[in-house]
Amino acid sequence: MTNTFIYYTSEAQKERWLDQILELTKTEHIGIVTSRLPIIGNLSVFENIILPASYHFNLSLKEGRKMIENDLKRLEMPHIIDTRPDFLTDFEKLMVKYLQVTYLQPKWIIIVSPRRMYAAEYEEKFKDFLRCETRDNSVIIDHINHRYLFQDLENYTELDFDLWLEINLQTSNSR
Amino acid sequence: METFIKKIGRNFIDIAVFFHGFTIFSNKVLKTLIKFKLFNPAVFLVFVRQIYFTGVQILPVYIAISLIIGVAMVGSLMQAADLVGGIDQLGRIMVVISFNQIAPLVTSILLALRSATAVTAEIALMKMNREIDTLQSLSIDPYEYLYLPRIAAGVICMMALSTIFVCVSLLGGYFILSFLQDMSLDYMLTTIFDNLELFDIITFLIKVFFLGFALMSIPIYTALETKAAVTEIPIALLRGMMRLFYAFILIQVFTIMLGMYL
Repeated sequence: MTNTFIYYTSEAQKERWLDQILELTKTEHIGIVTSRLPIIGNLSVFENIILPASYHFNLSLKEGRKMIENDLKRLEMPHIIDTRPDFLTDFEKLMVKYLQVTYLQPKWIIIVSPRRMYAAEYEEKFKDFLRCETRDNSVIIDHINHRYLFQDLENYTELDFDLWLEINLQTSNSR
Repeated sequence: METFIKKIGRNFIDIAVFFHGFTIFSNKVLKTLIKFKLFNPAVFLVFVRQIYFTGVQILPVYIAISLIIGVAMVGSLMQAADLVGGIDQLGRIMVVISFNQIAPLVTSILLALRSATAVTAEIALMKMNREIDTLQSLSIDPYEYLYLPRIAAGVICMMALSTIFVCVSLLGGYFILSFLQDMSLDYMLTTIFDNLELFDIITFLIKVFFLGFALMSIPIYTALETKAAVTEIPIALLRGMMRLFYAFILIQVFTIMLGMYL
């Protein structure tokens, strides 16, 4: 899915970067997948995913349902469409969050510390997901200690956060 | 004595801070209303659901309560009117009591018990779980998606249910009057409509608007004050209900004064 990785060395640095990205969401559509921003607990999976498209692009429920059914089939979890988040596994929550931000039609999808969002048993599934998803506007921000986990992926590129921000979101970062 | 004065001062400051914050919150809600975002598909869905939870699910219990209160009210009013020799004024008394006082009061109490508590817990939980931050990260304004549809539904349900209360309680009253006074429905309705003035309708609308607005906006505002701890939720519930209770008294006093001076 992605060939851009950014590594942080401390929690404080990650939080600072996340705050910077959140600030940018006020003016740009940026999809952020992180445990700090969970899916909405009182909405079903379908309602969670369709929410940004329905709000920003007036996507109808009927049309959206078909699209979401196809997306969930692609991710091999069509059965969860009407499930409430409380009944999902960690990995399913991560996938729902990912689909939710894709329906925002964001300029960039930023996945922050994905391993904080699922149990270790889903590691292979997550790697399969990264291999199968074709998307060139995504970036993963993870801890430097997790670098070795991505090394078997193809087209592996590392970037500095400030540089990435400046190139891709035309933001000069002085902090 | 010093502690007592400090306590009064603290309470006064707390009230002032609340009014300041709540005014800013209400102002933002009203500004959002003007943007006509209520008809956005995502927002409209929340609005319709809130109408269903607040105004439709309560209907069977509400109608039964309205009927019982209607029968009791007309029975008592008739006895009282008979005692003071004002049975011919019964229509006017029924309008004043049922339309302007009992209907908004009973509706606001029932909706506060049922919906305002649920909304407080829901919003406080969303705040605690950072779900409101999630909405903002998706460029969704919580005022448009979360607060406005709930407040608008509160106002509409308050108006609709208060009107239903008046109709059902008068119907209950008719059963009593037809049984005891041999009064026809046509005569009773004519008496009531003859005594119903435009001013009564305006006061009723003002009252149910403010009660409906307070019903949802005060619990939401109180829920937003909670910090990220589960223990804060019951405190928010208690604080929200107390504030709502004071607001209902204030609105009641305000509309009574409006009736006296206009």
